[in-house]
Amino acid sequence: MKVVLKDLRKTYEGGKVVAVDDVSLEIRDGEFFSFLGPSGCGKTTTLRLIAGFEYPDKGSIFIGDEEVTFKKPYERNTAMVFQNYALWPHMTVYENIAYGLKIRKVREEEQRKRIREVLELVKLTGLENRYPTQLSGGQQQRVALARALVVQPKVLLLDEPLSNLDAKVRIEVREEIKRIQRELKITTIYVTHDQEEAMSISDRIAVMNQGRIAQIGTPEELYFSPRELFVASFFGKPNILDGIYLGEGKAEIQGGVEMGITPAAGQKELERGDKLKIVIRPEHIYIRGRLLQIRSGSSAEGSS
Amino acid sequence: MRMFTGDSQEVKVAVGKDREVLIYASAPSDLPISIGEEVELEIPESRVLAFRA
Repeated sequence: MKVVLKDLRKTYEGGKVVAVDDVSLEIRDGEFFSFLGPSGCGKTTTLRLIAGFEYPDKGSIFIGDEEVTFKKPYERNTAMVFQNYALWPHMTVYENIAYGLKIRKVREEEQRKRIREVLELVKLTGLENRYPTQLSGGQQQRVALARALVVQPKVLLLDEPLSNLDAKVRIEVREEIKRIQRELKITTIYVTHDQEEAMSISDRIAVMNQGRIAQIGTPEELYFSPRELFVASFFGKPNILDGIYLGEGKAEIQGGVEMGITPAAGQKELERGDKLKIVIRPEHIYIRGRLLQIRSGSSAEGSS
Repeated sequence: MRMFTGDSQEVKVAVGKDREVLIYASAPSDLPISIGEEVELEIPESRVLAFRA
C-alpha cells in the first residue's frame, strides 16, 4: 500500500525547533523506503508522524487513498519495530507475539496458526516459551519483528531496528528483514543513520538534513548523482577539494591542478570564476602506474 | 563506505605543484609502487562533481 506525505511540518517548543520542514513524498506500494540522515535531522519524527505517535502542525498523511493524518496509531494498519525491541519482559515469546492479536480479538485457533507461521518466517520456531531475557539481541529483534508482522499490517515501520546489535548480528538481521520484506511484498519504511545499511537494504532512500529532504533516489542515484554537497559527502568518505571554475568544463583545484569537471545535477549553470567544492571519490581516482606521461584535462600527476 | 574490490586498494597521493594536496585514490592491488614514487592518475571527468561553494 502506498504512503503519501504532503507538506508535512512538525515543530516543538512553540515553533522554535523545526523537526520536520515541508516534507512531501510518495512511497510506492511494496517499496522498501528508508529515511537516512544524521542525528536530529527529522527522520524519526517523520516516522512517528506516519505511525500516529505524533501529529503534524501542518500537512497531511495518506495510507493508500485514506487520509490518516490525525488518526490514532491503531486505526492506521501500520506496525512499528523499535530500536530497543520494546518486548514485554514478563511475557514469553508466544505471548508477546499474541498480544496484538488478543487486543484485536482474533480467534484462538487463528492466533495459533498465525503465530506458528510468523515464527517460521523469522526463524524462531521452538523458542515460543522463552522469555525475552533468555534470548540474544538478534533473537529479541526477530520477536519484535514477528509481533509487528503477525497483525498483518499494510505498512511496516522500523526505527533504527539494528542499532543495538553487534556488527555481525546486524548484518544477519538486516538480510532477514530484507528477505521477509521481499517475501511479503509489504511496504516498509525504515529509519537509519547508517548509510551502508540504507544503501544495502533500500529500494529508495530519502536523505534528510535539518528537517527537510535533501534528495530522494535509489542508492545508485544518491551515490553517483548527488544534487547537494551534503548528500555527496554523506555517502562514503569522498575527497572534497576547493576549486575555481575556469569555464568550458574545466576547473583549477588546490595546488594549481587543472581538471575537467561535471557540474552536479540541479544546479544553476556555472560561470567563470565561481568558487567550487569538487567531490571525487577515491575509487574514481585510478593510479594507472608509474608516471609515463601527464594527460591534460582529466588527469593529474602525483606522488604515492 | 568505500567501493573497493579485491582487485584494488585505497592509497594516499600527494598532488599539486608542490605536492601539497593529499587525496585518496584507488590503485590496483598488484601494482608495484613505492612511497615517494611519481604516478599517473586517471580521473574520469564524469566522476569529478562540482558544486557551487
